[in-house]
Amino acid sequence: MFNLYRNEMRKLWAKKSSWILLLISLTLAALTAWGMKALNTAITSGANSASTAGVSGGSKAADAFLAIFSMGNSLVSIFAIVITAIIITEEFSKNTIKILLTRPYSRHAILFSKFLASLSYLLISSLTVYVFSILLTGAFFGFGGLTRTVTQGMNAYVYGIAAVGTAFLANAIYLALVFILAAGMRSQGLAITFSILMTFVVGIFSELLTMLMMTKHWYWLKWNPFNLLNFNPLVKASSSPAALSPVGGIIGLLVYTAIFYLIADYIFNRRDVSLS
Amino acid sequence: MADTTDNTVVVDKLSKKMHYVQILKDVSFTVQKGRILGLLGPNGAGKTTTLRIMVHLMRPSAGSVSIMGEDVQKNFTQAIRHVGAMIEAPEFYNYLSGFKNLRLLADMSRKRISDDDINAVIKTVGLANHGNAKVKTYSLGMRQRLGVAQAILHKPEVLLLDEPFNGLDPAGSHDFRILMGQLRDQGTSIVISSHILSDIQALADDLVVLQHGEVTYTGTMDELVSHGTNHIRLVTAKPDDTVVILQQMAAHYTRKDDAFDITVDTNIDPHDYQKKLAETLFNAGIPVTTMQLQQASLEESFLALTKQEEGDK
Repeated sequence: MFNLYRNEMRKLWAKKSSWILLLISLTLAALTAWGMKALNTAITSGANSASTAGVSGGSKAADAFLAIFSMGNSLVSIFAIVITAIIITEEFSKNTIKILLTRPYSRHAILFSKFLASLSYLLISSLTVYVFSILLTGAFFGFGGLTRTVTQGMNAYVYGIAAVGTAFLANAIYLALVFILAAGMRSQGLAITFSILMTFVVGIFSELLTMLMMTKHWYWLKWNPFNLLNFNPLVKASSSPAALSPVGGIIGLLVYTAIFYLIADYIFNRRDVSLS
Repeated sequence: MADTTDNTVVVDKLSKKMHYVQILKDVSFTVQKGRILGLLGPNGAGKTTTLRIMVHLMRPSAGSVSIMGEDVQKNFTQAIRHVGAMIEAPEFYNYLSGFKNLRLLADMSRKRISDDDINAVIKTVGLANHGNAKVKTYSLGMRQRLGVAQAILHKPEVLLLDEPFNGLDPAGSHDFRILMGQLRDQGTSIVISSHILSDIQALADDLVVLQHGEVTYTGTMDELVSHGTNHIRLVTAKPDDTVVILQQMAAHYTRKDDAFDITVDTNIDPHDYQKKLAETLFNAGIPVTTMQLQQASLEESFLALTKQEEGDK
């Protein structure tokens, strides 16, 4: 199993697209840092420190980190979805699936190694953006302010890691959904298009169901998978019956990820590798 | 024929239906240890589908495939350990070198295969100077060689090769034939599907002919050749008397001056017929200048067989 995972990681990082997508995220973070620094310099020199002295250097750094990190991370999930769609469909579109499936490993093991590789790409990208955001903040605003509290008693370092973990859990569901699409499709382009479209459709469904959840008899709809995709344990839960507790939300995310993955696994296992 | 315990591959009543179309129907054959089986058939006969089912890329609607005693459908990972396969055109990860492609596949073989082993296989298939080049720079022939390399990398007991001669130049075909001969001598069982009949003729010990998804012939190469139309070229000193004899024998012939081209029916042994003709002419006192049996090639025999099956449909 480890051999399969290692092979998937080798293939993943041997492709230029994996690096380019990560570089785009890092570039976005760098541009945000540069923009914030320029803006900060303009404000400081314009006001000549007359009335802006109320904003300390420490909070500037913390705010800058939040902005740089969230901007850099904004595309990571979309890029992980694209990479996930490619990781399966490319094997079919380029016909390399034949040499992969005629090795002494079950299709379950092959698909699972691909899922692990997709999750790894998501995690590595998020962590890279996190580390890069810290370095950029330190370079432009100094490291001192990063130890100040940014939200819920967490400093920037801790908040960043917590945000990476939360996004990872929520995006794992998306990746499992993409696996369902990709396992049944042959076209790489279609799988990517449908996967990205799916993220928007899911958003719309989520909004509709949220409205229903607010009514008295429909609060149990909080367990629908679309609602869980919006779950964020870093935001303090309300006392509404429709609110999810951090533990409940995390368990829900894991359960739905497992369900969607098993559906993808079933499709992949039943699929004939038909004539090209 | 070897004992059935020598069977390394057993294909038993394989059927496949796709979208209400019967692709394969009750296909059965066996491959013995150290033998090369040629899988012949016109386009669309079901050769590739059969090979795909043999390596579990497709599921059969009915029937089974057993390799080295392991059922491919029920115990895939055990069965496939013994198999090296190249199904249709070989495809690789274009962004990796030939060596790195083989490294990936070697790591999936469940056998310890060193970098030196990989380099040795690359040399065996004639890619020694191209192992580090990316596959996207390879010609069709080079890809074909790499396809053979990945199939033999883990020294399998059974090799399944679909149209392995595609894209190979004459030198490449020659090298391939020598390699297959060596592997057979080492005890490897090989199944080769090809539409290039002369290549099959030069390699295969046994043949299976598929048509419309059904096996229409199973046997040795010599037996199939006997299905073809054979001719006897005859020149005698008394051509007019010869005509009478041939008419008495109800022979099918054409005549040009003193030379005859006699067609021997496919259901008659051409050697027996030649002997009988010689005796009859001798008894009639007709001096024979030339009598030459021209046996059908595999291609002629194959065409005769497939046309006969078409007629039976």
